[in-house]
Amino acid sequence: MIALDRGPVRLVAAATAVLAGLAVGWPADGGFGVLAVLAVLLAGGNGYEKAYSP
Amino acid sequence: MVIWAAVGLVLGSVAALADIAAPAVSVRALACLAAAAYGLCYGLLELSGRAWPPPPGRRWQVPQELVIATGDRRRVLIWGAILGPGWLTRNPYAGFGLLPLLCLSAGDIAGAVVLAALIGAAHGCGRALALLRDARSAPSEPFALLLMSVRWRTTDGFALLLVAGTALAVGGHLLRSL
Repeated sequence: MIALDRGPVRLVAAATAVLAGLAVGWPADGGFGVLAVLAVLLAGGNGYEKAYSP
Repeated sequence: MVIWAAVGLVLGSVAALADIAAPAVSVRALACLAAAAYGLCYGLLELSGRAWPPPPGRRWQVPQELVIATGDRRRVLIWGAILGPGWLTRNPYAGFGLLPLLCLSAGDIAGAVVLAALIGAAHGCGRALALLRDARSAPSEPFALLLMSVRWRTTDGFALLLVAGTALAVGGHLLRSL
């Protein structure tokens, strides 16, 4: 398992997340569909994770 | 869902009015770039483990007695109007603040209303699923809850960076096509 709590690994993972987002968004050619799907997924995840707020 | 749809109506109207007032400026592109900037800033903050600046939002929590010792109708009202939509209560994760910006980047009223309604439904369902999960299992110890919160914050940070990259790509396309 990759240790994401290590600084350099986390930095590489962060850069990968941004690049993955660019790769997902670029073929959309300015269309809103991909961003809308991500927004709905983000909202669902945020609602779920909020139960863990101390 | 209804509250989020109303928010979408307001945001979509703002975008439409801004497009009429300044046709040379693309509100959609600006909203995408603002979403990208927000996602990059708070995504990196959440991954770094820093607590400052806190994500935008309120600090209020629903008092337990309002939910536990009350009738069904009042409980449904509290869930439907406060806990489900998520606007009035404390949310320690920055992902929530990105959602209005993404609604604004829909660019028109109908798109913003539909997206906001879907966001509201997804957020409310997420809260309800978490509640059902908690009802089935024993309450977590405070330290375990804190540890899970840190892990969710990391997950939220990655999600923010992913959405920021996508918003950057979409906003970049929109700016090029002006």
